[in-house]
Amino acid sequence: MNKLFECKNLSKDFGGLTAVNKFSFDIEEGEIVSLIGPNGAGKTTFFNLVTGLYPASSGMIMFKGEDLIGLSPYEITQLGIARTFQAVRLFPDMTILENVMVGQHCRSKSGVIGAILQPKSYKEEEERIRTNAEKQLAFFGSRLMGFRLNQPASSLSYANRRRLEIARAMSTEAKLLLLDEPAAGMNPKETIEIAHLIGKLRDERGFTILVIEHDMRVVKDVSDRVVAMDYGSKIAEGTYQQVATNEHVVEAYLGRKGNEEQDNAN
Amino acid sequence: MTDSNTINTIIERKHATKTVLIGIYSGLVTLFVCLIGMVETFGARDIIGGIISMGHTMLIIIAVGSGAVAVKTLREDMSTPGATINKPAFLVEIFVGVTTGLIVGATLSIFVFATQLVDMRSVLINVSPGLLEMLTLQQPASQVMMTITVLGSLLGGIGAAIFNINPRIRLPLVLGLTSVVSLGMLRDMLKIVLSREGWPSVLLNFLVKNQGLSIAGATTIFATTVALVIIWPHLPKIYDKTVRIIVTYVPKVLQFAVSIIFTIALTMRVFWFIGISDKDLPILPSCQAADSSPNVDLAKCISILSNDVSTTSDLLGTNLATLVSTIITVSEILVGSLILLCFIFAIWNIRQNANLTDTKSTLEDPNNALLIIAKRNISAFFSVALLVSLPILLGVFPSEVLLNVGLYMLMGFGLNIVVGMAGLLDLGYVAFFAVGAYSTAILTSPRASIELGMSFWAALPIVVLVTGATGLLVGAPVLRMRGDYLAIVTLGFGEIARFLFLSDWFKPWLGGAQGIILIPPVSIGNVQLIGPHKLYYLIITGCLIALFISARLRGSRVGRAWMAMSEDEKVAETMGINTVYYKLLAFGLGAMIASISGAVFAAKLGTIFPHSFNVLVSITALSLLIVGGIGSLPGIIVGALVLVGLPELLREFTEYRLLIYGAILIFMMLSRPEGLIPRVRQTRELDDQELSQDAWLHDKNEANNGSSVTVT
Amino acid sequence: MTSLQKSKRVSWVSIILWVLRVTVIALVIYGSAVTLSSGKYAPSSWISLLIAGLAQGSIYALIALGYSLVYGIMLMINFAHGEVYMAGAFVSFFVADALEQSGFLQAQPLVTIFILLLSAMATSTLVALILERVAYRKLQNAPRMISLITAIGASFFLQYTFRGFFGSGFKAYPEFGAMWGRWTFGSVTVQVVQIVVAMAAILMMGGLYWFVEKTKTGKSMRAVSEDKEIASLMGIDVNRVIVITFMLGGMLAGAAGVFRGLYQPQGIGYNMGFLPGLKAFSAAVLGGIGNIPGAMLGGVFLGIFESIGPNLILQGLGIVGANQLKDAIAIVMLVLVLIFRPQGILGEKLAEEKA
Repeated sequence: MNKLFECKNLSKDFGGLTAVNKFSFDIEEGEIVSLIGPNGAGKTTFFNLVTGLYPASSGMIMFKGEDLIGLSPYEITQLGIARTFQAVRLFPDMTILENVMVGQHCRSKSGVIGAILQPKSYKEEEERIRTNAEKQLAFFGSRLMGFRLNQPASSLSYANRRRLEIARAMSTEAKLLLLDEPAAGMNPKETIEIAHLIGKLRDERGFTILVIEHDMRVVKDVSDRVVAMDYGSKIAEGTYQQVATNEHVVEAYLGRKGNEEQDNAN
Repeated sequence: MTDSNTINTIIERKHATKTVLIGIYSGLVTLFVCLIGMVETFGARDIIGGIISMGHTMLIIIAVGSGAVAVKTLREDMSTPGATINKPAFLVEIFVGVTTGLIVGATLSIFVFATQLVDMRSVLINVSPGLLEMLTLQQPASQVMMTITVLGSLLGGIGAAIFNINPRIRLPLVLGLTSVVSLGMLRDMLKIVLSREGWPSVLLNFLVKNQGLSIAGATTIFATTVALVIIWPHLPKIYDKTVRIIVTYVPKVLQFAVSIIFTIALTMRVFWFIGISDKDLPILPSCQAADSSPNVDLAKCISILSNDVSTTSDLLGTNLATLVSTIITVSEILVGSLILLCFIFAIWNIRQNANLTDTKSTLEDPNNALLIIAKRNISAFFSVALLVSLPILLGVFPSEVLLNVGLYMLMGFGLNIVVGMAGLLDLGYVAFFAVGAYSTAILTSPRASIELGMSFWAALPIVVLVTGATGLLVGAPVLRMRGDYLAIVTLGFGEIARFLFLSDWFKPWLGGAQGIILIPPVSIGNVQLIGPHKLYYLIITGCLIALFISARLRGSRVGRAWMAMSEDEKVAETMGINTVYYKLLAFGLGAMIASISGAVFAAKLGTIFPHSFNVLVSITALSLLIVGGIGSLPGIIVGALVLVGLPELLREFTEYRLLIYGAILIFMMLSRPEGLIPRVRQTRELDDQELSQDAWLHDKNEANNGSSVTVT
Repeated sequence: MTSLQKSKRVSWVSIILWVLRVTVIALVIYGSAVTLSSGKYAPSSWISLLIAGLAQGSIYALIALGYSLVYGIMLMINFAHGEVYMAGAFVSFFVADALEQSGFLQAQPLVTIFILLLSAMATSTLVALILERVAYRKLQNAPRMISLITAIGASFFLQYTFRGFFGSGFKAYPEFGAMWGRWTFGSVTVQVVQIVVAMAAILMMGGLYWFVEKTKTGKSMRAVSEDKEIASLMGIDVNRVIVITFMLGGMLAGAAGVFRGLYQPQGIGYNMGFLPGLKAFSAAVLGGIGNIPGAMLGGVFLGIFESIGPNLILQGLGIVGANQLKDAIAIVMLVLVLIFRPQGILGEKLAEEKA
């Protein structure tokens, strides 16, 4: 059992609709895996299952040898899985620094008494949280640093909000990062930047990464392995080349492509 | 008629419609305040004795206001980029003001006319002869209609004219008038404070004339305010200089010695004040109005005041006592005014410092740093000094007001943890206040079912723990509910608590509708804290502790967790926050703080009834939180002072208290949900800056290396 | 790590909820069993209570519909709806009083009731519309907490406005002689007024149901409640639909006010709307908020439960003065429904954002 993450026959029903259907796959430590598939394929639902936001209907999820089924989201985060959201969900009224400091919550433990009396241990912990948060923010260069630390997250530009969300996930000191469409809504240049960033996250910070992405350039650039999903099931798995040429995948995407063309025509 | 022609061409139809609409709305507001009885009730209170009452002032303010609002709207409309004329001509503005004023006046006169035709009183109870007398200025109604209308237009015109005065003159003028009106409104308070032994009686006679201010008094107040407003901008500089001189030239030892002596003197004075024998000091009559929380009949209090300070003389020989008490009071007045003045500067400084802390350069200069620290110390010192000396300076009745403000303020701090920090809208907060009061009563009263007869201090920890547990009990079922359901359900819990306190089921333990009596007062050593001026110290200690706890929690890991939870619960949970725990924690802590308020409330009254604990208490606590800005700690203090203190000072207000709270809630939510004193946060107008910095970074990258991909 | 694993499988919150569920059911069964076996009440008195509950319940249902309609369209709790009901009752009291003094009421009781209904419905509608225009219009897309706080403010503002206008004393509706007759069926006696109120209310609800299901306006209302944005893209004037919704709610609440006056003439006062408002909201949630038949069902159920519950369950549990706790029943029920079945009896499982 060398796998960092493993799920077997994972299913999720919403009433009659099966969003995730007997989905099995695994991630090894240090890998970057991309999860692709057309809209509504169940990718985000899969993230929600892994992070405990939805209870799974059946199947199992193992992480570092622990069964995640039935755990609360915060416990899963504590075990070392952190995520970002497709539609960026920050704490808009909290400052940028505070947003990232929240990520440290599960790695610290001072409570009410500590906060009120502020003994030395509390101060040291706060200092540690702050330093760590600043370290995460520094990963993105000066974009989120300096005078911005004390500005509300809502004052950031779209791309920077995405970066902040990643920084927040990083600061939970997770082993496995789940990134939900990190490049969505970014311009081509920022997209390339994000791709580099994902690589750097693994190479410099040692994160294992599972990323949902629609932008095939990103997928191609970053992934060690690609998993394609459609109708809640895995339809292909392998290197980018293998998956991209897989006929099931092409089939799944063709309809979507047609749609896109239509969209463009409109 | 060239004038009217220009007017026709300049004012477009939509502007005219808007003006008329504003007039009609103002007219309706006028009618509203008349029909609801405000005008008549406030008519009994003279601002300037025998000349103008508060009721009249109210009508005048509406008429003038309508003119001002109409002009403001017009200017805003016209200054839109598309409009050809940016600022309407002076005459046009006056015309607009006169129109709205005219409509207000006409509405009122039609109303007066209608009252002559139909007897409305059987339905609208406030259309009384008294009201008509006020509106018609004791003249026959048929003749006065014209007068009212003309008066209205005049006032509207004045409103418009005020807008055209140079702001340099307008500000002192408006503030001067405001201070005359406010002091006139507070003349009871003025009387009470000024008639205390030691204050020169000349001052009282000069300022106050039977029902309201004297003309001379009003003029003096106006002049003083105007003078203050004019020199105000220069004062901070003087203060700055004084502090700088003290810091640089007065030796440290001396500074230290002076503050120590001052502290000792103040402490001794307070101890002495608390320690005065209570034999002669009557307990204040506290009556429970059917639908309002702690209230005191002002008239009774005034009658009692004569007994207040004289108690000291029983202890000492008469001659000596007179001398001592005169010296003490005179020095207190001097010191008190000094403290007040310093306090104002101190507050001003805190605001200034808040702006300064970001810019590092000010701190790098050691002299500046020293200055800032000195100022901070002075602020802290004088804030405490003011808080401590308030009841000594003001006497019993104002202390009663302050005590009630304190009770609500404490509740406000507790509720702020639940609503402001954790984002759980709890509308049943009164339940915790009630549980605190009831458990105190049960534990301490010899008449309670269990007859424990504990002392307040022994009971307090149990009370806090019991109420905290109640908080968890209430919190547990609502854990998974969404915000608005949670609010209604907690409201329901508050009501259930009252039903239970009232019910026969629990009567053997809780006393049913009769409540619990003979709750002993709080005592410290041999001194019993009877009377609001002594309990004040208890509640103010509670408030300070709650303030301290709130301030510490806010910036801590716990506070961050609450804040994250209140902003996005799901995300907070995926960031590793156990939301169940933090919700319960908030409910528990909030309940504990409310219980202390409840305990003091029980000890203050000596008797508690279920009727004191109704939903209006929760609404008051919520309103004061919202007025100050949810989550803002200074906001709670200001909110409690304004929403609880003012109605207690103005007897007439109590009737309309909840009407005004309701209006305030609507107004705040519609216009500025963040409150009047929002949490200190940087403004949001940073997007531009953000974008420009992005662009700058971008350019720099491009320039640095051809490969634009580097992530800096 | 295994210890962590174990404790997390079944969270203690759900254990507590299960214990709570079992306790509530056990208490209800035990209480009812004790009361029924004691034979304190004859079957006929249960039926009388049932019918009294039906009448009271149909008044709740009329108010509950207002909550439900507005919630369905705007996703906000119109906390001031209890005051809309109060306004109708208040004004119709003055009309009734005037008609009684003129002798018209005694001569033409049926016409009088009709006039009362009209005046009350007009007043309540007016109040509801003013509320919408002044307070809620701007808040259509505001966070729910903000609109709820506004509604609470509006509620107290209205209460104290009426108190200021008309005084704080309680008023008593004039009595309609014919209403207070009794009909006897075998051993069961019912008051005429109970039947009349229940019938009239059911008729009105039927009318509303027809309006929402069959008319074009009703269809656009349903469209807006499905998805505001899409509806407006389809050419539906959302503001107009909202206004109509408030009008309908106001009309029903006004009628409820008159029925309340007929059924319980005493205690028409400025704060009469608060508790019925809270209860009607509970009824709406019980039936599934946003769901029209649900609100009707919830209201009637609540009325009956409130009328029978204290005698049946609480007395069996040996609680003294059980009827004093009548008002608490609705709230307890609201809490239980929200804990165990937040979507209500008839509510379909709405999406997370809606329910």
